[in-house]
Amino acid sequence: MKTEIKSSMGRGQVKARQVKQESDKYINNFIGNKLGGEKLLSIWWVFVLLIIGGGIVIGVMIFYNAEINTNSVEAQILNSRLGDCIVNNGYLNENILNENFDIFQECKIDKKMFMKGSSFYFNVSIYNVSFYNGTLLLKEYFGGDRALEKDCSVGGSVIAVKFPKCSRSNYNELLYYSDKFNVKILVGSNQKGGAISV
Amino acid sequence: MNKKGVFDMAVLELIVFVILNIVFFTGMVTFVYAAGNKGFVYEEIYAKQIAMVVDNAKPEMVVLMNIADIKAIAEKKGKSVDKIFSVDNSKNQIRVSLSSSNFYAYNYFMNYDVELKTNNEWLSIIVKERTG
Repeated sequence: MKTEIKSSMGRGQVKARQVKQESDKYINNFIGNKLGGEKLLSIWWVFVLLIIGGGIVIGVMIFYNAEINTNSVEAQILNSRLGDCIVNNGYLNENILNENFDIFQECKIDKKMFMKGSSFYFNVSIYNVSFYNGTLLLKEYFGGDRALEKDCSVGGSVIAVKFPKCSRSNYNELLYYSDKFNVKILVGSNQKGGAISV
Repeated sequence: MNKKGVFDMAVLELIVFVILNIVFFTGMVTFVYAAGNKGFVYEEIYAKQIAMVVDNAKPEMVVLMNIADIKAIAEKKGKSVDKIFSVDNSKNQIRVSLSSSNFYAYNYFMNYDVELKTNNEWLSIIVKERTG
């Protein structure tokens, strides 16, 4: 009986039925796999959240861990302190050329902060204008780590983050009795500071 | 799986998805807010500021500094305002601490003794000539 019906349906109808069965199967599979598809979407979403979250965390950490660098201001302060005690209204400090002149005591600077390996450096050079067109170095005072002097010249020509910040000043034709002097001051600071555990 | 089962799963998944998103963004906002209140930034700022004031000052000078913002953070952390600022005159070191475990230290280079006194929202930086 069945074979009769099948034979009576014809080849075209059988084919159509097969196609319908295949499409039903495909739709069922699609609905069945819908959850799998959403899981895939969720994984992408978690990935996107991780990227966003990671970006925010890294950005905030970079912002708050950025160092507040005050070395430049420090160098300027020290420079002006040295200038104040060496120069007085266009006159050179009258004791500065004495053999026993103590620049630390005179300028009230703490000597222990300017030992070798310290974070500070200063150099005060006094030139006599009367000789060799003011190029005769008469006296030089310095304190701190001399390595910073070279770093100052490097740091002045290129952008160097870890290098000391420096300050320079010149005082020209200062009177000292009947002579005239030039004073050059170079100051560098590379103090870092930091958190210390109790 | 019948249609109702699929629908239930979809709703459940949507709820989980929304909850996870809320948890994530709440966490982010909390993190950024907490980071904004981090004391170490204030410790560094105040230590450097005080050191620079001392370097710029002259003996017998008293400088008043407003400390309202760091005081608010210290109070949140349960730290007494009197214990935020300290000085180690033997090392020329200004210390600022908002925690019990560590402090931020910064040195000044002038040969002065320094005394720090807090009075409500003000910090007195007393600079003295060093004797001996």
